[in-house]
Amino acid sequence: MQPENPMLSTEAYLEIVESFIGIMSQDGRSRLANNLRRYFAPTTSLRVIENGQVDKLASERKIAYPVSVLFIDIRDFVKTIRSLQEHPTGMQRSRDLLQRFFEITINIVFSYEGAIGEFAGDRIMAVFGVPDEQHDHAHRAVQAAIEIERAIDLRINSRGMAVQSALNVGIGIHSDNELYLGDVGSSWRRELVIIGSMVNIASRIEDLTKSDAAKAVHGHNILVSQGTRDLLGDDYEFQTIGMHKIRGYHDVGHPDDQESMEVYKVVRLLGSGKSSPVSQSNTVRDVVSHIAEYIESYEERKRSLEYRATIESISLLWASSDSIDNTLAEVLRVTCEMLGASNATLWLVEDLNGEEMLVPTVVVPPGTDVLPKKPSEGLIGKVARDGRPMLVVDLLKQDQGVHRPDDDARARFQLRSMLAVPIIANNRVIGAIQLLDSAPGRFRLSDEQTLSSIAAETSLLLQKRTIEKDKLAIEAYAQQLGVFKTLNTKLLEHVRQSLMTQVNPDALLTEIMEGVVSTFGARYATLYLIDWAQKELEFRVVIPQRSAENLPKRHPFGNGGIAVHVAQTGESILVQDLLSGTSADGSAVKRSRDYDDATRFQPRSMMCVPIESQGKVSAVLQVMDNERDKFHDIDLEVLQYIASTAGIALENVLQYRRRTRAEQIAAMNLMAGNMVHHFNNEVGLIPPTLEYLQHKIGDWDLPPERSAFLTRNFEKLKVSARNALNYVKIIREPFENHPQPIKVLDAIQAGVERAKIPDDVTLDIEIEENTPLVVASPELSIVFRDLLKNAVEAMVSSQTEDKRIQIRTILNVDTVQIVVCDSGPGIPEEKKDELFQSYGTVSTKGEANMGFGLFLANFYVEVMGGRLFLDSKQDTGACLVVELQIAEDVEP
Amino acid sequence: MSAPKILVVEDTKSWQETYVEWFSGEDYAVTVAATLEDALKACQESRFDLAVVDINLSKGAGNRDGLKLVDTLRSDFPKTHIIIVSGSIDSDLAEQLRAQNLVFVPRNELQYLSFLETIRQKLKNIPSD
Repeated sequence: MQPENPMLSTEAYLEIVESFIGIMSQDGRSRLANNLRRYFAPTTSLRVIENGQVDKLASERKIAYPVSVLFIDIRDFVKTIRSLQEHPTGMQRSRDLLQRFFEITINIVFSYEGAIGEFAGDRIMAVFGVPDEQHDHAHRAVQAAIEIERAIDLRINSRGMAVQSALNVGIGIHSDNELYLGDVGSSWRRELVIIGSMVNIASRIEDLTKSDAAKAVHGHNILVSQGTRDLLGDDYEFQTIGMHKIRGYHDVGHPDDQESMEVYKVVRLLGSGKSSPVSQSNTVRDVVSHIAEYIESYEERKRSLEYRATIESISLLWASSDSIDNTLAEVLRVTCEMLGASNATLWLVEDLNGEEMLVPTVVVPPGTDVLPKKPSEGLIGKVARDGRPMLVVDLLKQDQGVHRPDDDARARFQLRSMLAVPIIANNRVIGAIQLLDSAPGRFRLSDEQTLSSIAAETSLLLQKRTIEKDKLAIEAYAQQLGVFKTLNTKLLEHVRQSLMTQVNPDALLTEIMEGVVSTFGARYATLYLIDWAQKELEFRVVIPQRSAENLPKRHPFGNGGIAVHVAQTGESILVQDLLSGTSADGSAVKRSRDYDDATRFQPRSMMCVPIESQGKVSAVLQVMDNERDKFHDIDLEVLQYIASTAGIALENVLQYRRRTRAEQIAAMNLMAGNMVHHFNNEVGLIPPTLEYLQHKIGDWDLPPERSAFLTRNFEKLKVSARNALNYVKIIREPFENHPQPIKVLDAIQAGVERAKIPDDVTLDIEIEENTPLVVASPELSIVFRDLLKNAVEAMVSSQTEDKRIQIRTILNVDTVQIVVCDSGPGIPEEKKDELFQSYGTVSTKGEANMGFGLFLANFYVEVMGGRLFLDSKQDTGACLVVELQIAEDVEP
Repeated sequence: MSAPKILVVEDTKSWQETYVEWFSGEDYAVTVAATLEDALKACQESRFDLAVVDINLSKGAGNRDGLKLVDTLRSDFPKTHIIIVSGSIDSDLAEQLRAQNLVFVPRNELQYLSFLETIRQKLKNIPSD
């Protein structure tokens, strides 16, 4: 029952389906296609369209296989409504209650791939087993019924929505093969009708839930017919409520008692049940149904939202995948489907035998024969050369002056329209996506925007792919290198640079923000990230980008303003006229002068919503325009939806970063392991060999002074070699990143112990016992060891007289800063930039240069999700700060 | 009594040569094997009084072929003394080996005289043919 493609998360799949159906209906290709959404789950609707079953549905026919029909009805509905009406906002509450009931029922029915047959007042009919046969239709019906009951308890009753008493429903289910299905009505209003004797029987079984016989039996308020009971086997516990006469029912097997049927109550589910719903959370269903609503009320802005949904889908796809190459293929396939292209190629610029070529890396349909091209060839070459998208309405009418795409391929597939966009990374064209279709005029200018967004996503994926390739190459390289080359820190630097290269989350956020501006036709949009530690807003993305030049980078909370208010309260704000100083609900508004003065633009209308990521407000999204009354409540709702998308995108970025980190650590550990192996093997041979030679000197019959000279030098070399071996021990501490709550003081004390601080250094640790636990790995002590060694080294080498190290903590809202200060000469200005770079060598004294230690310390802290930086405010000495996230909900 | 026979299982050529130099000087008969397969073959052809076994018998980190050989020696040739040498710093493994009464020498701590002394002790009580 899962969507066919395991690469695609259910959420992504549903949203793509929504977009797809939206596009279908917008094109006017099928009115019924749009109507399908009323009856079927999005996935089913898409299948109906894809399989060309729309016409089949429209012709009335008897279903030739068994199905299950479910009726659900609210108990004492009139009484409930009356009691609600006594309330001042009774009308609204009744509407909300009914709306929630419909929402719950329809979403759950859809999640079990059932169809909605009809609504009548507080009654809904659903059918399981149409339009396609389902072998487990009875299971789906009963599972859905149980889940609806539970959801009503959870989402209506536990929230007191029904006011005086709990909302109860009765559910009846009957399974048989007496069903007719068809699409009837006039051309402007077509309905799907489901009729047949079994519908009436199911309805009457539902009526029986009100009977005393049913009430006398404990269990779910769900009754099933004998026919359904027979199909359910031992997955549920049933109890009979006796034989009941049901009009319309005739059991040919029992001529004596033709119209009576044994009816059962579902007492409870035994075991796991066979039918699990298409796995999607309520939230996802809600989001999907909300998208549907928004799209309906937002025809003119529809495409914009779909673009966002698509981009989000692809982000999700990207975060959920195992293999990048598979994901690329999947992205291309989804893109093709969405934009209605028959063929697509992902071209990458690669070096083929010393020549730069465009290589077809992924093709749709798979197996299509596409040959590599020179950048000087064809339309795709032009796209790559110019770095600009190209839309060709009809390839046959294309200007002769332009190189055509591969003539053979075009002739073979009779391709007429083309849309191609470049893929750009670090201001360089690294490839292109090309869509082709046999129909002329298939692609529109608006599709170019969508494809460009997808190309930007693809670029991120490709960058990650490059990192992975580099990593493999580095591992192979490290294995090939000899011992002394391995010591060459350039290699480590290379590894660091390759592995630490991160995709730019701003690219993703900029995409979203551009979407925001186009969705609302607004002049300006700003995304602020909240720095809770500094109590400041950071202007992260400002659209249009040129307006950002005049803006300050940060905005302290103290300066006030609407965005600060939103950040602090988590409320959304809509202001229809900033000049009149009132918000939509009439409350006064205080604006931030900073922003207006800097941009010299007079905003009149504004919306401002919080973005939540990982359960807290992490950013604020603000949209403005210089017309008054530009935005309305519905706009604010859409913006809130977009904000939730942005939140997901932010989380995706974080999730991706965490995964890349894990890969980095694995690569570092592997490489370090190889280094140690080689080093110990080769350098390890030196001391015993020298010892052996010392032992043999006696046999060589040398003059005494020669013997003494050799012995002395052998000894020196031995010490050097042993120091070198110890040095390798220092750089090789097995590092497994298992983030966990760590007590700062413990890590510091372990670090102090390992740093072996000389007696003439005064160590002053001011850490309070109740400092919160931080998120870190047990290796945190290594970081402190290296910082301390670095401090000692600095003071010793500068011959500082009063050698002191002070360690203290600064507590922020969600981080702890651990400050390590020494009384040495401080870090010279010219060295500050390279403080955390690696230039480790073995000094003449055989001591490991601690520049290497800070490189590793920095790496470790970054991997733990924190940061290591130099506190430049200090006048004397050096202060290094380790900042780590507080482990929430854990007592110190 | 013939010379005690030592099997050196070591993939690094410079260490092979070093062991041969040291052991020949002590009048031990030395056979060298670079891989697990060679070592198993040598054991089929000849009985050894002692084996010096490197754990990692490949170029990269992570190979543990030497430990497989140790298992075989202990089950099929219980009279052969075993000294394990390893270049990898893995305190857990060292602990495990010592717990099994196996002699384990980290390569970066290996010293000529004490190493030879360990071997002499092991070979002191070998029964004569």
